[in-house]
Amino acid sequence: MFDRLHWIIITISIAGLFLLPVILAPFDLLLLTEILLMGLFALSFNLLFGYTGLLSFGHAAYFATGAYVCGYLVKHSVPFFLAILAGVIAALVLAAGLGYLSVRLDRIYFAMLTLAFSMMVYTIIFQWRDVTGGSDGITGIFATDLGIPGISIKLQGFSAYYYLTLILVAIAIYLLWRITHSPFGELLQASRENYQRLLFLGIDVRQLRWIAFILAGGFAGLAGALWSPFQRVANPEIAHWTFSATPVLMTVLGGYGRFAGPLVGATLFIGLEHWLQSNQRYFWQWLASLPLFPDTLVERQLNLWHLFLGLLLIPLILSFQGGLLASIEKIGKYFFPQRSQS
Amino acid sequence: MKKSVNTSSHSVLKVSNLTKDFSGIRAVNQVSFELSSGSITAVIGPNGAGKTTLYNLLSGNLAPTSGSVKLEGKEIVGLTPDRIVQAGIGRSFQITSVFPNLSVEQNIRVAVISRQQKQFDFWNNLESDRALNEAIREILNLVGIETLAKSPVSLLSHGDRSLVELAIVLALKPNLILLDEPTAGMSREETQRIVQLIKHLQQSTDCTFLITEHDLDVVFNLAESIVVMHQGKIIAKGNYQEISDSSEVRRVYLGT
Repeated sequence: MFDRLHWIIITISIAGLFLLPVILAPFDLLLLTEILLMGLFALSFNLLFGYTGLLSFGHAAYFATGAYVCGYLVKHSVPFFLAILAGVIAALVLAAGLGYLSVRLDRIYFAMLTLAFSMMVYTIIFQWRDVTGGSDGITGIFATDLGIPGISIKLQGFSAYYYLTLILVAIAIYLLWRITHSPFGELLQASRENYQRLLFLGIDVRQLRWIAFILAGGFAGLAGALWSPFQRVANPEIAHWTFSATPVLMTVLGGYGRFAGPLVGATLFIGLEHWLQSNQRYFWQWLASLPLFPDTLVERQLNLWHLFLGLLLIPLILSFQGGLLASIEKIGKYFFPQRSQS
Repeated sequence: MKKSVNTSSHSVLKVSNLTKDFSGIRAVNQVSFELSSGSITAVIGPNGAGKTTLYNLLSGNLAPTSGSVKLEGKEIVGLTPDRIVQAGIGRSFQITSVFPNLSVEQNIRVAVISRQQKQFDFWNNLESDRALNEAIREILNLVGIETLAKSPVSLLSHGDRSLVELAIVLALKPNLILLDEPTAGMSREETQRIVQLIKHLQQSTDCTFLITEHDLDVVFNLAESIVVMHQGKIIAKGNYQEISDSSEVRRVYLGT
């Protein structure tokens, strides 16, 4: 269970997250909102990956479903809170259908099947121009008010949307925490360890995995539903399988064996991404200083921050095996050996 | 050696004409037997006699080609393994099957969650669930592995791991326990411990046991009735005396 240190960290983080808009610049708030949403996306992915042992390579499908359904409805003047709800429900329904088929397989076959299903969703989004806007996506998604009848909650300005995100993501994280620490969550971990043994302990493992899949889809849908009004656009990129790889990377980076691992990974990943986007000229300067590096490449200063991100991620993932959080715990144990792991 | 006959005992399991074909090979052939409640029965026979196939048929891992299996009068052929467990049959595996990266306590907890039908509890915290914790403690004490509660199973010796598997099967509180080679690969001390434990369980619970075992000392020490299988068929059944008097058994085992 939680010991005092955990509570102190959680209390400080929540208080800090609520107070941050006072001191942060608007751009940093955008960054923070993005971290929260991608963090929730990665946490929902880890319910399947870390806890249940199922590597979904198509988790973007549920994120995109939430984003498109919510975006479409907001665009058509449906109250925002209903649009969010509809986005989550749509993701749940899609996850129920595709999950029912996917959980029949496991290991690489599960990964490939989820990837194939997500590419079907991508294709539908890409082709169904009348509704989804095709390759342009749905643009100009403005959620100016939460739209609850009788109560006006304005969402103009970065900090209002940040607070909405913070509250909903915090609730979702709390729900995920309860689920992972419940009897159901314990069975998920057991199913990851030994499918057959669990079956011969009287558990319908396929049904168990199916429920986990639906829940993971629902939380991804919530992240997506908040994403499109935040970005003001829902584009097909967020349904592509490369987007499904993002929570995988974040989770591996932060640590799939810890509840908060994906959140730490998302923070690190997005932090690095933005830092590189604005500072890649230093990398170019460094490259230019290398002997024999072709000057023509330096002069062109291609937008290659993805390359630099990759170059940074490789040593990070290699040196923090088991994830950053597990490594921090290991270092903590070295200095405070008397503290036992909860 | 001889156990007094329990007058109230009734038939827990009734197997009739159970048959399993694998593409032309009849692995289990017209097998019929009954287990009376509270008894320990051993299935013996040379390798390939069909013992493990019989277990897989009884526990729902395989579907029989024909025949019937009745648990407390109810047909269980055709049920999935999880349903058969819920009906009251727990089993162990020849190759120890546990949750290696979970602690001993967690291993037992998984079985208790199943037993207490809490698999759809998404909300309550595991560690503050008193009913769960009490049941876990009870099983740890029963099997005598309290001191191992917090250890990950992957760090335990083979003998202790088998005890953990026995513990999780017991945590299901089944009417009938199928043990597949419970002493395989164990030292003599560990074997003795398992034998004592099974004897103790038989006396303290109303569990019925079906055991396959290649160690005949263990078989004669534990089982009050023995079923001998050879090439998928039952060639003899009865108590120790009846088995050793059977010319068929002597032919198969001793070649005389």
